[in-house]
Parts: sequence; structure tokens; C-alpha cells
Amino acid sequence: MERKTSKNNKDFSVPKNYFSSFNERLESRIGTSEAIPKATGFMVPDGYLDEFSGRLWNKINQKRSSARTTKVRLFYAMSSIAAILILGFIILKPGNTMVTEQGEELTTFDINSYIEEGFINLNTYDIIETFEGVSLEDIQMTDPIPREEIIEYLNQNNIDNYTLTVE
Amino acid sequence: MQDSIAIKELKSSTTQEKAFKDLVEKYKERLYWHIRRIVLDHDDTDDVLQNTFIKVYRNIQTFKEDSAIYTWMYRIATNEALSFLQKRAKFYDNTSDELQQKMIENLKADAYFDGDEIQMKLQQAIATLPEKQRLVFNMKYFEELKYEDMSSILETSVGALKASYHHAVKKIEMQLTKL
Repeated sequence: MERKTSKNNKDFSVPKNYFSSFNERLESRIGTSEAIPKATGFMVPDGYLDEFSGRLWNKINQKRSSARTTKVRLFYAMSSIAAILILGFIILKPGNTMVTEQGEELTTFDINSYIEEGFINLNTYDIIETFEGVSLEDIQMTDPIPREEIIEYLNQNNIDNYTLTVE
Repeated sequence: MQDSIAIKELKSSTTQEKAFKDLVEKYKERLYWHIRRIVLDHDDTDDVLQNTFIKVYRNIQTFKEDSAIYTWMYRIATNEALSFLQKRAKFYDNTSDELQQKMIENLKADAYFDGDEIQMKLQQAIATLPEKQRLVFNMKYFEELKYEDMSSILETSVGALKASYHHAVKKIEMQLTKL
């Protein structure tokens, strides 16, 4: 037996990996059916695959830039909310009043009720629209609020309770 | 070895862009056909293929390298394609079988399908298979993937895949040869 194998090895050769891939090829041959066509009839538009990478990269860049814009908008929205909260605290300090351009006096109670009844929906554009034309000089401060009290107020009031809408 | 070099480059911010472009070039066609055989329509395939590569790009840092990168990408492509079909079925309030039949009907009017009668019958026969058998049949018969790779992609044992493939071939043969 040994001599026969040796003789075969001398006289004949087989392609590299012939035996190691034999099972796989046999399985493939058995698995292929004469009744089932290999062609499917699907087509691809001309140049589609050549242009694919370029289009994909554009989409990735668009998504990246869109993600950056959203972050910037979110940052501005958060800054606006913080500013409104500080302003609101100054205005809502008991005993403080705000005089409108029409000369009407808004009491702290009126403003508190307005907020508590959910009329304030903090949206960047609403904030800009609401405060357009209102000068900080129009706000009459009778009693400056210490910095510690502002920080304590912000710590006690979770801004997550307010609705944030990012356009 | 080549894949491991590519992965290192894909994970490094300085070489990521070029490595990713090379990866897309290398696998876009294979993944296109893999997805196309699942969703059938060219435009849908394009959407799914783009989403697949975007997911690969975004998640490459989390790739654990416990499988080859192409089996990982095939897994993402398969999941994206199946999830696309589920969303579509939900949108039209169809069952999975109803959606498959609708897709075959659409194929008849598809500008990018030029199959003859037997090829159309083949697609109809494939559409009647259960999802797993459909995947296994396409991956083995047309894409000629190794069972070991399919096992990694579909997270199914080689034995179960062989059985699925055998059943799928028999069912399709029966449908194609019946008068």
C-alpha cells in the first residue's frame, strides 16, 4: 500500500488544495440542481456600482453635518432656557413687578399662574418672538437678588420638567 | 491577516476614511447582491445597502473581531434587509407571506428585472419558502458562501443550515418541475 501511494505521488500530481477542498466542491455539485437556473434576471442600472461609493460618502458627510447642526441648536436652546429661568426668577421674586409697554402691571401671581397652567412651551422661536422688542431696561428691579439664591433656585428646579422643542 | 490590518486602520481616526472607502469598494457588489435577493427591488436595495455601510462606519469601534469583518457586515446587511421588509409589511398592514407575494407581483413590472418565465417561477418558488430557508438557499445557491461563514452570519449551526438548504432545494425543484 505504501509503495503504491509512493508510486502515484511520483507519477501524477494533483492541483494544490485539491483534496482539502474536495468535500466542499462535492457538496456544491450535489447541491446544484439542474432544474434550478443559476441566473436570476436581476439587473443593475448602468454605472450604479461605480457611483455608489461617492453617493455613500456624501450621505455620511451630510449626516455628520446634520448631527453637528442639531448639537449647536440644542446648545442654543439650552442656553435660552437657562437665560429664561434666570430672568424668570428675577421677575418672579415675591414683591417684584414688571411694567409692560402698555403700562399695565403684571403681578408675580399672574406670571406664576400663567406658567403653572402650562402656557409656556419653551421653544427657541417662541422665546425670541415673546421677548422681541422687550428691553432689559424696562424691567424694574427693586430688590437685587443675591447670586446664591439664583444658584439655589436653579438647583431646586429641574429644567427637564419644561418642554424643549428643537426645530 | 489583510482583514486585521484593515480593521486597525478602520478604527484609527487618521486612517479611517481611506480604509472605509477601500472596504466599500471591496464588498459593495457582494453585499448589493445579497440584499437584492432579499428585497428584490433595486431602489430598496440601494437604501438598505447605504444604511448597511453607514452602520458599519458608525459601529466599527464596537466590532469585537471575534468573527471576520465580512461575516459581520453580512450580518448587518441581512438584519437591515429583514428589518426593512418587516417595516414595509407593517406599513401596508401585510403578513410576511402577503408582502412576499406583493414583491413578486411588483417584479413583473420592474424595469431592472429581465427574467424569463423560468426565472420568474424561481422567484415565486423562493418567495414561498420560510424566511430562514429563503436566506440559506440564496446564500448557498447563488452566493456560494461556505456553511461555516453562513453559520457565523445567521448564528445557526452548520447541521441546521445543511438541513434547511436541502429542504429548500427540494421544495423549489418540486415547484419548478410541476406542470
